[in-house]
Amino acid sequence: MKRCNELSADIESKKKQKKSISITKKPNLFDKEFNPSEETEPELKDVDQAMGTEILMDILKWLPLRSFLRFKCVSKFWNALISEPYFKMKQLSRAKNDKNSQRFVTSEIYPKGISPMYCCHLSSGSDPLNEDVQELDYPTGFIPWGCGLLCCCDP
Amino acid sequence: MVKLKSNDDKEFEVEEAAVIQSEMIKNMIEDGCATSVIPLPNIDSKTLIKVIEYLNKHINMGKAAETGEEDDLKEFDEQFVNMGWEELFDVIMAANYLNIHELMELCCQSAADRLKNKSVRAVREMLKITNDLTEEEEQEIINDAPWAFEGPEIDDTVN
Repeated sequence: MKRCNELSADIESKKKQKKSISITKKPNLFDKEFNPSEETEPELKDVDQAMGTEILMDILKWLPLRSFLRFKCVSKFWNALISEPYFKMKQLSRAKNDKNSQRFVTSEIYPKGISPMYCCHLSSGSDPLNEDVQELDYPTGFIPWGCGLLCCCDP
Repeated sequence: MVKLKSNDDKEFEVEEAAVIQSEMIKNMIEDGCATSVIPLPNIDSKTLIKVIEYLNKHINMGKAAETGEEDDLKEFDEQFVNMGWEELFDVIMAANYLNIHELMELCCQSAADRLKNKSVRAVREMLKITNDLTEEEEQEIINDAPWAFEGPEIDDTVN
């Protein structure tokens, strides 16, 4: 039974560690040296901070990129969390395994002028010419040339 | 059968096959620590009932593909997350504490779905978050990706 108590105590202490992370004092959430003491910990009143960093990340990782970036404006805590490289990796790894976020990019080449580019869901297995197709915005003056691999990234 | 006790002193009996979906309880059982009642000081009975409902439904999840019950489970999951914000957060906290991965993913995805098209103001209000960014800091974030703040789908309502 002693082992059980130790296990429970261990779980409890892990939960406390999660809850005690406070972004207002530390820009880097994952700094190992960051260990706030009980006295300096502010009262956790906002729902997001009561949930703890890990849980909030588990929710935010499901957001599409547009909302993900917009929600940086929610508070300092969210801004720092969303800007964390570790979290960006987590979001990216979820997105690349999510069939709904995989797209097929295609373009029509015109000899002169701007060539429109389109994308459609890769998972739908649909005809690329159906209503699922979206026209993409891209920098003016960009002309796709010949056949090849196009790499897109969001800086 | 395994006995679980909520923080309001209510006891629940759950089949071992169901309850071992919780990594935390599975470890306790493997270590021989689940012979009597397992107290769950972080979970109230209302939330625990929801969690047990999920565990019982997902008891044979591995076999669902073989028996063609996948659609049934999907429908159950959709109905399951149809609950209020506070209730959903309580289940998320419980799933995190008990370390039930599938339940955690289901509820977190549902929470994200409710937030995804919301405006910044609506999110703050829904989650009772105080904005501590200065106007300049806010403008700087907007300038980094102005396209993320525009669009007809952005919903400013709170619900």
